[in-house]
Amino acid sequence: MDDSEFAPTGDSVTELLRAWSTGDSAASDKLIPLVYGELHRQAQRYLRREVEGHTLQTTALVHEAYLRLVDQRTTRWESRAQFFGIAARLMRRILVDHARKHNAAKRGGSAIQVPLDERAPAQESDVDLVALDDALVRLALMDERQARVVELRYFTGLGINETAEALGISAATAKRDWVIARNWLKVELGGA
Amino acid sequence: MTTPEQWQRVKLLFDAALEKRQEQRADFIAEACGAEDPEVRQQLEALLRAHRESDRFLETPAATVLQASDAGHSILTEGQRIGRYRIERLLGSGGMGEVYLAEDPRLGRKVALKLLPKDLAADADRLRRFELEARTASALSHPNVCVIYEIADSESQAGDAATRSFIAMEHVPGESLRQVLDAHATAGTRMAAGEAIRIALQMASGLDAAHAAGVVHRDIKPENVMIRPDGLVKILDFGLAKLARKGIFGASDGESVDSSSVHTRPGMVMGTIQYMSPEQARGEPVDGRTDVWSLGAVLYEMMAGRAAFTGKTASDVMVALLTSDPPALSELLGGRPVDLQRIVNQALAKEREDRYQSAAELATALAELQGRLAHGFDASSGGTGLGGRANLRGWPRSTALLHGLVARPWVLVAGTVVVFSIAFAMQFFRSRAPTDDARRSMNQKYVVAVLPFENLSRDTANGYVAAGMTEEITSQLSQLSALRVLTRSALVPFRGVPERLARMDKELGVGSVVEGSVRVDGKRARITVQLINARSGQAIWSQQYDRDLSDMLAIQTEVGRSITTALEASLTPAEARRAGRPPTVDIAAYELYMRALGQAPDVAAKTLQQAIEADPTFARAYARLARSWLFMGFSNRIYLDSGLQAANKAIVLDPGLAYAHFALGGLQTEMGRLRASRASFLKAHQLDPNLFGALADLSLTELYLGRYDESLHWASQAFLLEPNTPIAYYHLALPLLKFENVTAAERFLVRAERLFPDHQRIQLNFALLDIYRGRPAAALDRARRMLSRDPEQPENQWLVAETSFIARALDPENLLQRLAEVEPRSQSMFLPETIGTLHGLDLVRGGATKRADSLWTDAVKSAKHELSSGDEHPDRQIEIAAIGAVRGDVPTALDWLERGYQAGYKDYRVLARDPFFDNLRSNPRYQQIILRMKSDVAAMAKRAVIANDTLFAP
Repeated sequence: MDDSEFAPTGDSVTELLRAWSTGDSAASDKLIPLVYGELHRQAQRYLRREVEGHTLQTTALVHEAYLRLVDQRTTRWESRAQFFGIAARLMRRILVDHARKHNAAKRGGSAIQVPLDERAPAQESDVDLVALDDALVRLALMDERQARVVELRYFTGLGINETAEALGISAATAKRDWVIARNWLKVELGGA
Repeated sequence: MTTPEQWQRVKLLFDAALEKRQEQRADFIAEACGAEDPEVRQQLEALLRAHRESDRFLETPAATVLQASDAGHSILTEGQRIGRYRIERLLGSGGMGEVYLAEDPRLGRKVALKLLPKDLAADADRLRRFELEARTASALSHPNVCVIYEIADSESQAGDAATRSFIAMEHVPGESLRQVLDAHATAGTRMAAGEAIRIALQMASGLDAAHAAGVVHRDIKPENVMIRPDGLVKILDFGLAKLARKGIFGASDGESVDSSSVHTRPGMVMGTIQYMSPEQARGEPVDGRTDVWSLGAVLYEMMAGRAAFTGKTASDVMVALLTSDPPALSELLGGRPVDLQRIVNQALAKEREDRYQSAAELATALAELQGRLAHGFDASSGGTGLGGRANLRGWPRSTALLHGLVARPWVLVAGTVVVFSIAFAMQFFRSRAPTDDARRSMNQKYVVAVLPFENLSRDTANGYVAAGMTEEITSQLSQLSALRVLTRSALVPFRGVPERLARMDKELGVGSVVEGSVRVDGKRARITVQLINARSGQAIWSQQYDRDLSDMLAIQTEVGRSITTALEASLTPAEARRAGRPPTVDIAAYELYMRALGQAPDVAAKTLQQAIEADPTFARAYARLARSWLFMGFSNRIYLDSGLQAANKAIVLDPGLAYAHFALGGLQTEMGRLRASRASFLKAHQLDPNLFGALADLSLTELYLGRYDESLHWASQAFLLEPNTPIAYYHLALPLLKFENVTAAERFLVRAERLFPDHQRIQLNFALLDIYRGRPAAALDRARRMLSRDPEQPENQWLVAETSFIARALDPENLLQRLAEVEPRSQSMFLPETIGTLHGLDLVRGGATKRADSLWTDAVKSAKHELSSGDEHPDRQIEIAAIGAVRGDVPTALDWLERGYQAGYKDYRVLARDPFFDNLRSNPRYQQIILRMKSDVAAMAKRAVIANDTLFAP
């Protein structure tokens, strides 16, 4: 995809989010390519190493996209939740696409590793993103919302509370969804 | 394949099973799944099995490590060589690479070696840009900027295919500010205000130097600030932020030596976002003011013990920093200094235009505050940038000396001060007769406000040109007796407010406003100036100058003259002669001079000496140098002599320079040469009728000399130049309080309190009011309230100590003793005795007669020595009298009391309550001296009432 066709302005995304939150469902279709363009462009810069630094932190990327695309002064809180919902799905797509290409180029190589910080011991096993993506497709068939929770938590790095906000559910529900989905995926990916 | 219906069933049972204890789950499943289909049961069992194995599957969000080998694994070991450096040990590691302690065998010195990520070595261009910035910053050899020795590539090593770029820099022993803050957090303590200011001031000083060289740090945070064991502060990693990531990553997290602690603090996700400025969050270009913001956030954290902007997630933090203000310091701490809050507020203004426009401005504000705390003896921090603990001798000289004399007095009221109803203050000085009223309105155009010139230059290094225009035009107009030029402090509250011209007209009586802008482009400067009628908003005169930068000094003079002409102000011949005289003819010297105005006294002294080297006839640089030495002399008296020399040199070079006489007067006051200082201040006032500092200090000098009506006169003149700051109120209240009838003083203070609630100085005035009213217990209550709000504030401690003494109340915290131990010869706040002498009486009451006696013997010796060396402060005689009285030596006591009275001591209401004089109460000669004081003050009060009837009118 040529990035240059996406030169989103803050206004357009802000406007679309507003339209969407007032019930204009077509707005989300227009929104997705705009947000995708931004996320993709930013992610590509990392993946191509135009930007120095080791880790691509998806949370930061999505937050940055939000700040760049949306005029916070005029945007209601619900729009932010919606934005994250879209961004999470798009981040999943971007990362999985990247992993797929990477896997193709380097057969058998695992695409995703985790950053080194205290939350993530270095010995944590790698996750096969392509397999995870497939499993998520199956999970969505059984329970769409649980798949969304995984997208928000894993691909976008949101906390439980933010995930709950983005989906309009209680934190307890989000937590339950997360626990069962995580365990199911573990089984599916042969981790347990 | 599990159907959605089956899955719902699995989910229900899974959640229910999790409610049970581990060992009950098998039974639960057996029971619950009796009738379930096998698919459900199989799923459920698999899930519970997976759940039992506690691991971190998917717990860490997806993120790509592009090169696993880069991620901190290439640990070097002791003895290994990088370039010519020999690795000793790992100091820390972070996202930007590891940092090692290494030795440079060639020079035998320790260095800190920072390895840069491999991929950077490949980007030669970016690396070169970084190197340029880093070198520029470290070439400043500023004490607060960490020096970079070398940026180089390591030769390829066996087992390490790629070369690595590394930075060899000054090894700074000590702790990072982050570590210091964490230690406080762990111990449940907070950094003392004095310490926070000391650190922030050094940071501002380092940043100022870097900004002047065109380098913006972009990533100021506690992790990048090292504090050496000797207290010197060093800023690390100039230029590195640019090398790192952009946008949200501009402050790349984990880049510093040890950032891990940031992540673990609750409620935080990304450490460095918390110091990010709004413009960085918006992805806008940065400039020096960006660092001002970050420093503001760091200062806030040092004071509050918590970050200024917090949130559960990075975006919450960003929304907070973009849209909300951090909780007030007083909310968190209860009564921290108001001034500090103002400094933080201004540094953290969302719009860059509302912030301090440079690190230098911020440094000035901090230095000024530090000066006041230090001069008031900052018990909390000990050392200060002014060079150690200052004594309290000569209080309340400190305020006047500092206010108006420090380069940028307006920092005292920086921020958004409530200005409504200030007009009332003007009423006090509204003329008495209708004819005067008419004159006043006719003359309103002669009341002038010079607004800071706007700097439109792209390069922050040229900021001095705009500041210089403001400075020179103010200074030139200020010298004209036909004009009243408001102080900068008075104008600060109008910064950026809507309809400011109309408000200045209404609230300050300003008739004419000078404003303008400067744009420097290479060697050319475009200066626009206009003179505006505040009421109509119309330009009376305007002019644009496109000139060579080297002509700047000539333009300043030209502009000043043009405005004078446009105002149709009449000039005396002497004024006309001075009007054409530029301060120096050397532009480099002038730039140094302007830079010094924003610096802490010790740094300013060095800069000014450079300016003098460039132009040895630069009288104003000498005068400012004298002021810097005076400030340094507060804590170390050896500087006072150098100060005197500089002031005299300035006067020799330019006898008509008001500031030189003013500087001389300040030094003379500090040396107790009160009559000489009075003459100097008068001379300064005569040469520059709008010099606030000279008026305020003259008022204090007269106060010490017991000439209360004179003191009131000068304070009220000062008030006219600055009718909207707590300091001006404070100065005016001091003489007002000395008169027997305190109703006018009280009325005035009640107004002041309404405008500046809880201002420490105003509260202090109120405590004095209580004492003069004969209600020392009420004064003590008030002092205790102030102390409880801010227990570290030295003036509060002093006030409690002295009011307990005069109220004959207990001093449970032993404040008197504590203060006396630090500096027994410090002059107390309102009692004539020094603090050690007061403490002596406590010792006697506790039975320690011998120790008291030796304290008093020393005190008498010192006082006599000071008197013989020319100190004219009448408190010296009273101190000797007090000690004589308490020792029962009545003739000596009366003799020295008489001498004190002759020297100007008139504060009979304090004497009447002073326990030292209890032995003399029934002595007729004592009573007679008291009566003479009383009748002198009554006569002065009569004169004051006639001269200032509106001030005293009910």
